[in-house]
Amino acid sequence: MVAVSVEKLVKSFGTLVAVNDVTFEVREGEIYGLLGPNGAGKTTTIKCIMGLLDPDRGSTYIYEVNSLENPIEIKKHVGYVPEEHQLYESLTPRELFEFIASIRQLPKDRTNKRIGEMVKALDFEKYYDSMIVTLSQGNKQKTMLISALLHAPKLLILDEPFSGLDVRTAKIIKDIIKIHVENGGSVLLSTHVMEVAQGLCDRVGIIDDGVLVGEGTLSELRSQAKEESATLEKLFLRLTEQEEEVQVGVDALREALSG
Amino acid sequence: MNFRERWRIAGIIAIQMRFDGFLKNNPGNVARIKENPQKISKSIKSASKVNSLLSTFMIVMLAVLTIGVTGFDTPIGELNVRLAIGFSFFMVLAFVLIFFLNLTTTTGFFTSGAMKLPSILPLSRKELESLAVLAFTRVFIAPAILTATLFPIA
Repeated sequence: MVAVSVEKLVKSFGTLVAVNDVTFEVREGEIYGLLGPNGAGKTTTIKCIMGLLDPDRGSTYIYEVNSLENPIEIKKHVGYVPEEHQLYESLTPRELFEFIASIRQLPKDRTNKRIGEMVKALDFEKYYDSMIVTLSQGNKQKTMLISALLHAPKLLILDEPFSGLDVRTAKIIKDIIKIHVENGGSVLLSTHVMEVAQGLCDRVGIIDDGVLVGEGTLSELRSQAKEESATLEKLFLRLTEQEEEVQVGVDALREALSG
Repeated sequence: MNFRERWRIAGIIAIQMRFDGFLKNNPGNVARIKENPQKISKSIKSASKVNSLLSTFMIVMLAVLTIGVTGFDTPIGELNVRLAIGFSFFMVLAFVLIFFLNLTTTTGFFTSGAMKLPSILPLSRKELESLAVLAFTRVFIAPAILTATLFPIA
């Protein structure tokens, strides 16, 4: 079964075409990375999948449920961590989890047990009753992640989950993603950190200027770019046609710094 | 979701809006809040209390003045006309007072991203709209009731 299906998605904002005819699938039990530079259209694609934006053309499905036709069902089934923290900073994590659980109408006992286990596993106990506004970036991200996992979703959608995180928190989040997949879940994540994508994702889709320029496993992308031993970073620059541009910039910088 | 549940959720959203509004209007507190978050929370609560007291005082004063003018300023016209004009003036001035005395909260209501979190949860557009309206109501319900009841009572 397919966890996420995006078919010929088009979304514009005025004259800017943010997503242009994008098609890809996230299979059940895999980690799919959506890669692209800033402003490539990753977040817009994810927002369309989540039913937060209405596409101009094309369609998106999660477990065969259409995002446009049934956004409530989509939000029930997905654990979503947006790029910007959407937290109530006047609350403590405990109060926030209770707030979300009440909107999701989750059974109290089971949810409390699940929260307790996650809080313990993430070494989050000492922050559990502190106001969210006082938490560090990493702990806010952990709060978002626990919030997204409260209802035990089969699919996790994470928009730039590693930005601004220290090594330890990034490792914890990577482990959570792996455990989620080991337990039969699927993950769609967007990132522009190539090392993360290379080490974590089963397949990646490279998006640039709203267009999907490459898709597949690392070896499939290597053969697509005709580069046998290239890293994902090199393949990314090749497929997004930024290799020369970056080289020119580096040369100019080298000259400027040596003078 | 029943009304009671929506009213409770709207209360949490309204608190967050006040909080965002206070921090946006007092940027110095953003850096200081980590030092003593309880102190900032207390400041928000006391600012809210001061606003309520001030609003009540001003509205009572306004009502007394308007009723005084309505009752005794006979050159304006008959009593019914004076009452209508007085009440209109009272309502307009009370609205302006409430708006400016609760400016922090009002700004917070329009600039806060407090509705972003519910929008990613399984709620319909109708429920989200209803939550926004209820949150607005929770912020302004006390001065609104005061304004609507004080003049007729007096």
